[in-house]
Amino acid sequence: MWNLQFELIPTLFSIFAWGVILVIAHFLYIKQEINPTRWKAFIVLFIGVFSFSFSWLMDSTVMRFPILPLGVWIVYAALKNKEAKWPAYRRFAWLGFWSNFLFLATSLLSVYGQDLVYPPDQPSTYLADVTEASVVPSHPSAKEVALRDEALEDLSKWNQKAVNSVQWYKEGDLWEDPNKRDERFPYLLKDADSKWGSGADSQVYIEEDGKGLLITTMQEQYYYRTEQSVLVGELDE
Amino acid sequence: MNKKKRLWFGFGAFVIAATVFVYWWFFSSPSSFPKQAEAVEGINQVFADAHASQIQDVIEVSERKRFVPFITDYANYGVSLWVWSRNEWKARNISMVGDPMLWKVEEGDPSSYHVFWNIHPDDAVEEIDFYLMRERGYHITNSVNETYQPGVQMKKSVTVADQSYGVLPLPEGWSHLMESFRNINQDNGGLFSSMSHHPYVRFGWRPLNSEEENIFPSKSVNGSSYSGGERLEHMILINPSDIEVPVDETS
Repeated sequence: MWNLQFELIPTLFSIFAWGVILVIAHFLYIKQEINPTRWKAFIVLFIGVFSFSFSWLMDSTVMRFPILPLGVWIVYAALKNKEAKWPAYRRFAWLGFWSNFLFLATSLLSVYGQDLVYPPDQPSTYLADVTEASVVPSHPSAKEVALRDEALEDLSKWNQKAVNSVQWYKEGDLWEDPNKRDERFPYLLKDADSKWGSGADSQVYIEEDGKGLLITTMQEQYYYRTEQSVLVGELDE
Repeated sequence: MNKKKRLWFGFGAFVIAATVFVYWWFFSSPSSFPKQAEAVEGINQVFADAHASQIQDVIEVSERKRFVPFITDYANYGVSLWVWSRNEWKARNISMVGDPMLWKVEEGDPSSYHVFWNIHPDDAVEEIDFYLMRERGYHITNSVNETYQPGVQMKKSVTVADQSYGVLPLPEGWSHLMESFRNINQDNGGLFSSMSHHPYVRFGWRPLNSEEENIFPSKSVNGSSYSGGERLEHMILINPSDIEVPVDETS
């Protein structure tokens, strides 16, 4: 199972791409002397999009570089024996194929647009709505605490710091007693919503002193520190 | 023309009848659960080795799924998972022993998951501590991109002294943790997808006697079982040495 979250930027770009394609199709239709049936031209256009393509992942977005116009061939094979059919539909089939390049361009643009509109290294991208947020102790070294009111409302005072993974992994290890162990990030933050339309899912841990946030996304991990603890309760300084 | 019309009419009636039948067959709401003798027979029919003789209880875990602990001819304590499917109650998974397992009632929705058990009274288990764990870890790629996975250890205790069997809906914090892992573990190239395969977390149980000592529940483990398609996850028997204790705690 996966979460289907609404992603604004890719949605806008696909609407834009299809708008452009339909406008081009409309002008092709008007300019052409032999006019095919309109709805059939649409179907030919959609079949034309079908192609063999080289695809790769970029920031979890699939990029496709079209290579073989399979859809065009299918349309050609279906129409070649019918008098004057292929010339009437040919351009729509090819428009379908070429629109793959437009999709590739908009996919690339949406990756960059996504980073511009929803900066991946800003905590506000992941913690836009914290009205429902609360703390779940995820390790026995967690104390009886709760999230301070409005603790996460102002995110401007959080500074990004380096993830010292090896140090954090090893620091709590008391070699003489392997079972005694505190966790540096013993709280899970639950029900914090990311910015509307960002689709930015994350996992957020809070540091033991309440002054650090560890945000893990599908691609990256970010660590932020601030001055005042976000936790209230039996926290010993 | 008249003949064609009649043909169409007949076809339409057939489609409607088929739809109603399919709907009734697959989506009908569950009828009441079979009576004692019928349920015992239902278990033995599916899995003859079970030798079920007595149903202990019928516990609802969802609208169309029931947990049914039973006792056998040979005084074993077994478990069976029943599902309302194709218009009847059917025992899907049956086990001759009742060591705890995780039942993914609606797979993909951790808030529907339940832990179930039926511990043999001879094992004298007083309490079970259930654990959800995720190992602490770190990961460095290209010597610049560092990630740290905090160690996770969550505990939930239940008493089994009065009743051999029981179910435990996954505690809310547990299902939240599992969902948060799913957020960042999407199969299409998520950060940890290469590091850890699907089970992001592991589940464990620790049986304790009335003196709060660790015991080995020899009569509740290692039995034969029949698996009929419900998604289950085993729980590891936890040793005290697997458990992390805060530094400032004396125990």
